[in-house]
Amino acid sequence: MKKKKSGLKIGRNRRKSSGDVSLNITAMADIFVVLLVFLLKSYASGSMVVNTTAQLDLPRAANQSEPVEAMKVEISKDHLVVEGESILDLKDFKFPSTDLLPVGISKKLFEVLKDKRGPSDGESPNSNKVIILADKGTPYASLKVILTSAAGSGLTDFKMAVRGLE
Amino acid sequence: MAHIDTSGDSRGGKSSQDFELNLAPIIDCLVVLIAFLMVSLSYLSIQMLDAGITSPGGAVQSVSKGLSLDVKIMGEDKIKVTLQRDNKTIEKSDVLVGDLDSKLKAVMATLDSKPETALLSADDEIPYEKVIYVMDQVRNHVPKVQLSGF
Repeated sequence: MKKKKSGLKIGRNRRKSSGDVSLNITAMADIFVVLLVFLLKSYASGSMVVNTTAQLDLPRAANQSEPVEAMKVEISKDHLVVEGESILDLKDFKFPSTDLLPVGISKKLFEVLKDKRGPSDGESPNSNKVIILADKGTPYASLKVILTSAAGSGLTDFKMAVRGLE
Repeated sequence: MAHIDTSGDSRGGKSSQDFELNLAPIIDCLVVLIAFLMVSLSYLSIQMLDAGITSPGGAVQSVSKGLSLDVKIMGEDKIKVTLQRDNKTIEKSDVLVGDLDSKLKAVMATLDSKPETALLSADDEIPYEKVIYVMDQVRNHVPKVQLSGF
């Protein structure tokens, strides 16, 4: 590369004043444009956009499948969220006893899932899929309530959201 | 890139049509955009782990024909692994979580065909992270894992 394209030119020439410094930002702009294109490509290739409404710490797993678009149920320490809308307050991941039916179904979750799912046409490949976003501290008992409620409302294909191993 | 010369004048000297494009605001925009995209990309690392559930009550019967693998998480570090063929137990052992992978590898080595589905259950207080970890380990050996214990 020629010296005059090297980016930072510090004026040592006696004809110029000693404080004359000019930064060539053309090369920097080139790098940023390439980086931007790369990031936009990566962004576009991810089909799933997850907006978690609570502080969620997802577990990690090595075996993964590609993300899909489906109904999202999110359980954190204090809230149960369906499609970004908080439907139930939890106490340390536990469902209130007034909400639980003897068969282990949450009344509120069952109703909301059934409403949001609507009448099943049996044609859409994602119609029976549900994505579970659960905090890694969620006890299995609470997970069972979610799974049973979802299965009761016709959502039987579960996708557990996890983070990849780093 | 930034310098655009439209003069077409070969006699030397700068004409009035020479101008320098100011790249500084463009760089500012790019820096903000790149920072935003990099933060957004952290959400894209979320992947899926497929799971099914067995129907409540009739759990074991649905997959008990042929070879079936039951994995039960008993406590934070204890796992019970049961392998059945035609409802007859051919292997039953308690292992620690860290030894599950090697145990499953040893068990699978003794079989002529692998079970298609494994049933995973856990005690009520077992954290989700442990369930996912065990599910992940089991899926290294069995293609499909179903949650049971309902």
